[in-house]
Amino acid sequence: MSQSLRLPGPLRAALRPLRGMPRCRLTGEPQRIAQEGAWAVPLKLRAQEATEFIPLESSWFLLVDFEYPLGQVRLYPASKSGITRTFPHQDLNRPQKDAKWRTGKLCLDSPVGRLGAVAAGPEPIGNPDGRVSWHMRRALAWLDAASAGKLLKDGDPFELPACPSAKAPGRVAHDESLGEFACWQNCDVDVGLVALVANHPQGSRAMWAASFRTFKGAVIRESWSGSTFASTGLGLWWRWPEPIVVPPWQMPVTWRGLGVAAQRQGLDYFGTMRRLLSRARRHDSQLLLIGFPIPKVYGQDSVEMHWQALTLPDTSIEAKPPRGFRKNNTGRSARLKRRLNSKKPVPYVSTKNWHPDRLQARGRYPASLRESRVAIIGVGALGSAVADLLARGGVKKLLFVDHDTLVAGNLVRHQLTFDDVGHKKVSAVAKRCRSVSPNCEVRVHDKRLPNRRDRLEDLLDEYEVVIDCTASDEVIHALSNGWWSIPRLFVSASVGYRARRVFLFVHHGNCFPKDSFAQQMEPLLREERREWAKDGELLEGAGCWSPLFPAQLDNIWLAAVSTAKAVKNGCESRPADRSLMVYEVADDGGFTGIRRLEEHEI
Amino acid sequence: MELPTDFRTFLQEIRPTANQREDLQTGHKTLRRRLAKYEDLKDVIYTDFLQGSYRRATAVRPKGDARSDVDIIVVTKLDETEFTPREAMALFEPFLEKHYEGKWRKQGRSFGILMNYVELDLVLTSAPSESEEGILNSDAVRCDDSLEEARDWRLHPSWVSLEDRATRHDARVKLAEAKEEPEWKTEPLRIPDREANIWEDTHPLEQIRWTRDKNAVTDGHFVNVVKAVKWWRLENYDEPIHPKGFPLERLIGEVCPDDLNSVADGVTRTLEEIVTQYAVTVQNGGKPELPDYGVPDHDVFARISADDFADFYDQVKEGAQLARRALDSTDRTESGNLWREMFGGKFPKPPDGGGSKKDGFSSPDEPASPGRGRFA
Repeated sequence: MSQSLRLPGPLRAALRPLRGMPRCRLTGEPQRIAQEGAWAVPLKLRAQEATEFIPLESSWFLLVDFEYPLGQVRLYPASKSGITRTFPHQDLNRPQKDAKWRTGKLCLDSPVGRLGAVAAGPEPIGNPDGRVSWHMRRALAWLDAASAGKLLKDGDPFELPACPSAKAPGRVAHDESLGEFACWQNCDVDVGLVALVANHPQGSRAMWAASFRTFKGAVIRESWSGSTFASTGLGLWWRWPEPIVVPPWQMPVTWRGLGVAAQRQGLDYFGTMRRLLSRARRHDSQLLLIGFPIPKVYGQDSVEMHWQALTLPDTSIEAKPPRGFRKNNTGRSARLKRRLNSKKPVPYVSTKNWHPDRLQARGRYPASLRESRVAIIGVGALGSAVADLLARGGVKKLLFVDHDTLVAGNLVRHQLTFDDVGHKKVSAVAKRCRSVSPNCEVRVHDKRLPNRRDRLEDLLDEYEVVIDCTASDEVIHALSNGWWSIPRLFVSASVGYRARRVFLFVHHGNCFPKDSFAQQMEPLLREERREWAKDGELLEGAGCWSPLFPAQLDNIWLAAVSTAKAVKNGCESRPADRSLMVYEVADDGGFTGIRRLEEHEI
Repeated sequence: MELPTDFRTFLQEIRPTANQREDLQTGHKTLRRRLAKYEDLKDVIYTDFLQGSYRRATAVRPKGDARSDVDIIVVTKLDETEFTPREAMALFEPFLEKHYEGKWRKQGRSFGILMNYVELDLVLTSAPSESEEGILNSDAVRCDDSLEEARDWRLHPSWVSLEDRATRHDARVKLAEAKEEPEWKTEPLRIPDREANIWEDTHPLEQIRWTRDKNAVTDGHFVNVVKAVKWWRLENYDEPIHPKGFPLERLIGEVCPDDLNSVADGVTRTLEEIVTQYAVTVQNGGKPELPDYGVPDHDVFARISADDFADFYDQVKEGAQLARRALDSTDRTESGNLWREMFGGKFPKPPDGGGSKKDGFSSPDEPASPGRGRFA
């Protein structure tokens, strides 16, 4: 029931320009839709010409949030007389109950060139006169492009066809990319088995596609082989030659739609599904991954495989056949055909491409660091923070060396949590690093660094970067006595009193130069000890006699960041000017920054 | 006391300077490049490599401003039966004149090329047998890394020089091969005798190899013992000049015990061993007979006179006693001063406080703090 309320000023300002806009016609009063938090404005848009999926005049609803000119502005096809198909740059366009519009919201604020040429410049949020008309001008441009079939043009970044949202629980992750595409190009089968693994029972309920194989067992490609994932069984995969679409640009919603899409690509839908389901019964599989190659840019060659998981229909022998079907092969086959031809929705499972390039795209370290094997000796306050930075930054192979067990008092400045108290620091930090980067292979050595030279050399032999975060002279001695054939980057990182200063000693060579280290550090450490002596001891509480080293987490993080940056620079090029770098936090009477001390100050 | 940190400082002070090292490397590389391009020689030369005390990590810097000697061998393809050493050397003179005018000289069996801080001492060889060609052109032979720098040096065609390890992707694999497979068995090379009349045997690669093995078994102390003893002689005695250089090194190698704890221990016991082992020899007016590594019928001590050896022996007696006192002293200051008496001003001065504190990182002149001063 429409409400004849007085429209708010901004909304009236918004609608005014529409009255004069060609090909745009308001068809009724805006209605206040409380559950959307928006006004729904019915209107009709006129295309340049009618096409298969676009009528000459189509109905739409423009939803304008109550906070207009702030909030959202959205355009949906009307349930009656609106477009019913899904196009590129549009959400999946389905009918819905309790609303006069469908779900296919137009993506008008994308930076796609076509629409930008019409209504150039960023969306004028906060401008009541201009904002809605900005959207409508873009909507008309969208409509024109849609009817001319030009929403996806050569040169545009490729957009996947809209997929119905997954109702089934859980998700499937894979890591396809350009690097792996050659495996698919060289493969001449289109169906097979995929080994699925899971992170751990309490994990993100993600199943990871670890290995794609043919039915004969030949491996096409593998991933995450270094991880500690446990197998959760086998799934199936079916590779299609082209993107699986219901025109213009949507993945099939129903089994029947899937069949139609298969037919359009010349595939034997029933035959293949029957084969896959029989295999599924044999291996007790429930998942099918359907996939197709996609380009990066529309019109260019494909560069990677895209997968979409779905749950297979249950065709077990025990399942009661519906009336009219026999409980035998013929009956089962007929039942299957009916199912695959039905309008029941395909139970898609959320599928993600979690290739490290994608996961880390927002900010990872350069390849020279990521590809290095890094050993961190000491995963206490400083070491655990450095480990976190490196693991998240994409370093693939790590080693942690530490004999210590986590106590609750460490947490004030450590990356671990209460769940880890009582556990060995190396194991807990390793677990944490693996949980933030599935790509990351972590080994642990839960004892002190070996003193015996041959054992020490073996332990660290393959690591191109060795970071000492122990502040221990014993470790310095050990790293000096060893000698490694392949020269590597050594970084010794420690903080001074109250972690006001961080001391970074960087050396590229076959072993650590302890004499040079001692000579350069000693005057600085003398000063630190003087400072410490002034304030006296810090004890945990009654009954504990051994003094604590005071240092707050914020300074520890600054020190960890400085360490990580030194490691990064060391990997990019040999350390140039000098081996000892000292950074000081300027914190007296307000934080003014962190600076590197000049040579004469050291 | 053994004072390992002080000895480390001392050894840094007596090894060839950074300038000398630079000079040697640039000088050698330039020489190699020029020889390869010189029309009349490029087909006469097979390869060249650094030998001698620089390579064996037993070189000490010369006293004062003297240049350091760097021994380089140039392996030629000249047939021994066709060329006498003098004739072979004559072939090189135009090259030297062209590239090193005013800076080269002929000295018996070798050429000297003067650089800023070093003098390159060039010795030619006659053609080696064909079977040697594979190894002579390898990194293991041609690199300039000393035994202390390249601790994993092995005489194997797969061995990779230090400078190439950063860039070669197969370095790890190649080094593993060099480590696991047996070393190449080489034959002696033939160089001019002292008067450049005839060709005689020498085996620099075997000398390097022997030194490496002795150094490994003494936990890296042997080459430092050699340097320290050489310095002790240079510092304290102008006469007799001999034994010095390789003969002295060879003598030390003969007597130095394997189970060394430190350089201090090695110097003391080596000198004591010389005293013990050659007491009778000296008494009888004789001198040691020490076969060269790889050339057993060469006596390294052939040209050293018994008189010189007798004088040297007396010096060793004194040195052994002084070293023993320095080693056995349990007082930091006293021990440090005694070692300084032995080795001169390049040995660090001990702190005045003395006492029997083992040397370490801390010093006594500050207020007590709860810890060392650093944390992670």
